[in-house]
Amino acid sequence: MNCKDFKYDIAKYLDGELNSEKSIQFMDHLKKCSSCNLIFEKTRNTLAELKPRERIPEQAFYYTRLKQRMENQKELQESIIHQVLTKKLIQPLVYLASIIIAVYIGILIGSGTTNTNQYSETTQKDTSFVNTYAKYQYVNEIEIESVEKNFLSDNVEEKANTIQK
Amino acid sequence: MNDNELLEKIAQKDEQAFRIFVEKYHPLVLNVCNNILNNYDDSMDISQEVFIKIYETIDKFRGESKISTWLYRIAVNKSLNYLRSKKHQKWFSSLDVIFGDESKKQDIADNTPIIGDQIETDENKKALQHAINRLPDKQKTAITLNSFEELPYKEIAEIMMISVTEVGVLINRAKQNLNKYIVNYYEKN
Repeated sequence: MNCKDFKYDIAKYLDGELNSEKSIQFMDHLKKCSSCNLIFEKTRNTLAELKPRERIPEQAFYYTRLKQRMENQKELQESIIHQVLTKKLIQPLVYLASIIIAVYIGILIGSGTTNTNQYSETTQKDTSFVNTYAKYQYVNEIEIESVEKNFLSDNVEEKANTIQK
Repeated sequence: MNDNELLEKIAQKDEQAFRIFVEKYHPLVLNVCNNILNNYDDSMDISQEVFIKIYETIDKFRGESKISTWLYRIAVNKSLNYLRSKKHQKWFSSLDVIFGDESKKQDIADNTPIIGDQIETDENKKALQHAINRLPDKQKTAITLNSFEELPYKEIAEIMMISVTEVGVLINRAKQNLNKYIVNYYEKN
């Protein structure tokens, strides 16, 4: 038996699972090889620790601590639900609603919708501004005529006058 | 009040019944967890999780097996899950150390003190725990329940929901693997 086979047969030897022939070979190697002897002793002592361990006795206040933990867990779960509701649901909804309202107001202003306030002066169908606009229409047209055109026309009249003279 | 009456009352969320149940069974659950986790604080945590799970899922217990078998099963599963998650955490902590986060170093270091005459026994226990930690989950469960809890193969088979023969095979393989890991441990140290 070589060292490798010896080392991996230790547990079998200790459990009496080796046949008589192998058992004799095992014992022979154990006597001859000092390093395997050392490993055998250590492994045997270690495997001997595979025995019932010292029992932990009944714990005082075990239930109290358990109950405390259950309550803490419950509170934590509730706070998680609260957080999920506020942060993941209510907050985005508020943001979304405010954006929709802002956009709606913007559209209202942009489209020039008449003010529906009954106390406003422009609530009634006020058409007087049409006449006023018509009255100043002519003036406005003059205003928008280019100054250069007037100069040009003046120059043409002056030239015509000098030619006539 | 017998166990079945207790369970019925717990299902109706009777706190007094739950208290009696916890007082009666917490040493069993705590010791199973400790035998798998080998750490008192972790065992306290996980055993409490076992009772919380029982309180929440009591209506799923159909009474086909003994209460102790059911408790063993939940305790073993919770403890193994915890070990798996801890393994992942250790992996990430080791990455933190590699990339320079010094605060995580102490999480990985094994700071179990070894003192006086206990040195040899502690070394044996350390080697054994090192070897057990390397076993696959099924082998670990079988050898722990058999060696530390002294449960017969039949009860282990019920807890693990496998046949008695399979339990025997698992324990045999576990012992072979322990032999291998222990020899490796002493050769390296």
